[in-house]
Amino acid sequence: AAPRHHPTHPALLFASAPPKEALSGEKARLGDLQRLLRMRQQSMIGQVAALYPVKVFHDLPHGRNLNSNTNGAHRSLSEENGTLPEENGTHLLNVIKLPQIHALTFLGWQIGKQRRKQNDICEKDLQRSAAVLGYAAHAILLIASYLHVPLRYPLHFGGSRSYVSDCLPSAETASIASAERTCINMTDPKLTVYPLFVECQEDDPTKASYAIYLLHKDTEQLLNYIGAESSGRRVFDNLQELIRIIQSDEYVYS
Amino acid sequence: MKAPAAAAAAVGNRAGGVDPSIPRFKCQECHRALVVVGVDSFADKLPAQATSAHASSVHGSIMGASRMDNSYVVLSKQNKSHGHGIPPRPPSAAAPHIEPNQPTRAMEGSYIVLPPAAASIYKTSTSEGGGAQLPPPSINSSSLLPGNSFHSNVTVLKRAFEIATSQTQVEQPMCLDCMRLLSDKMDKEIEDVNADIKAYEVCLQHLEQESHTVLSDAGFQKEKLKIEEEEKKLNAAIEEAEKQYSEISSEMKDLEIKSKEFEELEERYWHEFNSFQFQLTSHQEERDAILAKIEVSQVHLELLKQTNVLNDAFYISHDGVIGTINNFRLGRLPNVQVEWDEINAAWGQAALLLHTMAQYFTPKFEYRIKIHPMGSYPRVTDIHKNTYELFGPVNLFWSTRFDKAMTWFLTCLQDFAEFAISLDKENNVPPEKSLKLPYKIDGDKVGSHTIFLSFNKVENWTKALKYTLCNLKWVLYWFIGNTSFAPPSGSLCAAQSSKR
Repeated sequence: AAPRHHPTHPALLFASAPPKEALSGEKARLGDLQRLLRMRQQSMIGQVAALYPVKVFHDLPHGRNLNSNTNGAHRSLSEENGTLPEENGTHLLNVIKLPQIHALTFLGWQIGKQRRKQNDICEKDLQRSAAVLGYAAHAILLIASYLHVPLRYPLHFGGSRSYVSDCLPSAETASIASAERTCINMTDPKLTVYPLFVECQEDDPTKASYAIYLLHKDTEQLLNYIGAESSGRRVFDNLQELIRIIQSDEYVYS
Repeated sequence: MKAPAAAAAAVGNRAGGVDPSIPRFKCQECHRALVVVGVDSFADKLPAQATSAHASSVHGSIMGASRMDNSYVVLSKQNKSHGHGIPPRPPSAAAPHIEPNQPTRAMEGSYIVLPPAAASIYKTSTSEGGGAQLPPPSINSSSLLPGNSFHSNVTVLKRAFEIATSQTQVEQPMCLDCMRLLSDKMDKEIEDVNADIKAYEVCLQHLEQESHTVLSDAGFQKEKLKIEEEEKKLNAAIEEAEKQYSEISSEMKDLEIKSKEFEELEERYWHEFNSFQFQLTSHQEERDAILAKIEVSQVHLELLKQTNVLNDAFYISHDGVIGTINNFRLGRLPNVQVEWDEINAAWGQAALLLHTMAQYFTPKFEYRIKIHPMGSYPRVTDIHKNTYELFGPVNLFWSTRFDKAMTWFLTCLQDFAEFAISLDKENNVPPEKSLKLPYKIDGDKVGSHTIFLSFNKVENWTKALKYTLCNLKWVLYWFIGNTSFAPPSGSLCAAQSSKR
């Protein structure tokens, strides 16, 4: 307060101090509490990252997938062990190695070349894609719940049969009926669900592609929530960046 | 003064010209028409000759006159009847002026009451002889001719009124009401003049008395000096008062300046008060917002503290007699159909959990039976390097590979449990606090129920699966209690550097 030559109300001079002091105390308390909260979030999301490690390969190892039999798959796992011996969750890397855009290409590639490959290869690759997307969905669900962020496109985790919901009604009622037939615990009729998997090689990948797009929007929402921006249209790049920022010191002391 | 009377006479002449029998006079005060009667009897009184009827009438008048004061003109009833068509005035309209000391009788019509001066003059004329005032030839001529007689009457009245006016300084003629008012007024004036006379006499007496106390020159000079000194004192008092006035004026000016300053101070105070109030409100709102944020953060932190990631990601429970993991039912009943997608998802999560725990303790834990999580399509590799699918759908009557996968899963779970128990021994954990699976695992049996699906009842198979999940839950709780399960920062940095 500015000094006055005629302090007619001295009580006001004393009264002006307590609110600011109390305010600074409350601010400090809030700051400490938020730091504790962020540290707890950091720890928990670190465990989610340990549970679902995310590695993005920009070059798809096509050669390894050409082998079709069980022994081939086993050898592929051995090779993975050899290349990354010190990584935790080494075997999971073999599972989560299909980035979104590459997954699309991969699915297209597989569909395009179905006649030249055995049925076992197609089925297994579809299983891998569905597994990766399911794990990503579960990771995003857990991270969103720990950040206390309601997702704009709700996720239903069903392992390799996970779904993304869109609140807008779909023009294709047949699509809704088809999607709802395989839904688990989908009770809200206003939600349109899109599968994060392709049932078989004959399925149309359009719905799965849109589901991946919605999953990407969810990762973008989480990034925006912590003050970061989305980079491109890749689910796993966003997920990796999200985990990196949360694990950094700037997140706790921001 | 005489002009109005002349005008009245002129009017009378014109009226006489129009109708000689009706003469008109007006009261000079209220300007009302007057009716003058009794002049004939007065005129007839002077000549001695008269008829017998007239003689009796004259006699009556003379007798009345002798008994009454000379100020009255007595009117007779007979004369009025011979009024030449003049409309009579009501008797009540005229109030007679009655002398208290004189007995009177009721009179009809109106009469003229002359002031005392006029009365005295009139009396003198009477005593001298009334005939002397009027020339005898005119009387004779008027008595002979009726027209001439009326003219002479009017002339007489005019002269009488002129004389009265000149004597009394009051315009004549006047009616009785105005005459009475005038009389009262003159009486009051007389009283005032008498009072003034008395006052003047008193003053004269005072002057005569005071004249004896005339001051001498010496006394006058002394009085003059005294008064001059008093004047000086008064002037000094005036100067003193003026000085005080100027002092008080300047003081008042100072007070006005201070008053303005106080007003400015008060305005500034209110501005500061309002500003402070605004700041106080802002601070209170900010504090309330911060307190709300604190409460929300506290609740959120408390919730996160009570949440375990592994328990959250692999929540193991049951739905009746069917075990569940992450709300995925593992098993089915004859009356409860569970799709393979759900069973596969449940096995997928169980495989991921067991693999995560085993991987965490590798290489200390000899991870000889490998679990390969891949969503809803997990696989198990046995000690002989054979890989089996741990997912359906499979044929109820021929599910050899699925049965083997489940059996090897049980074996791996048993291996990890034994490893946990050995670790507790190594850490000197008391036997009662060490891990102990609630359902014994022996080959393909868990809790005395085979986990095989082939040639087995779905109820028994589902029960075996539930026991398996329960054992897995106990192992998970041991794992949670004995590890922090967080990636080392070095490992994370290494991962990032390897990516770059």
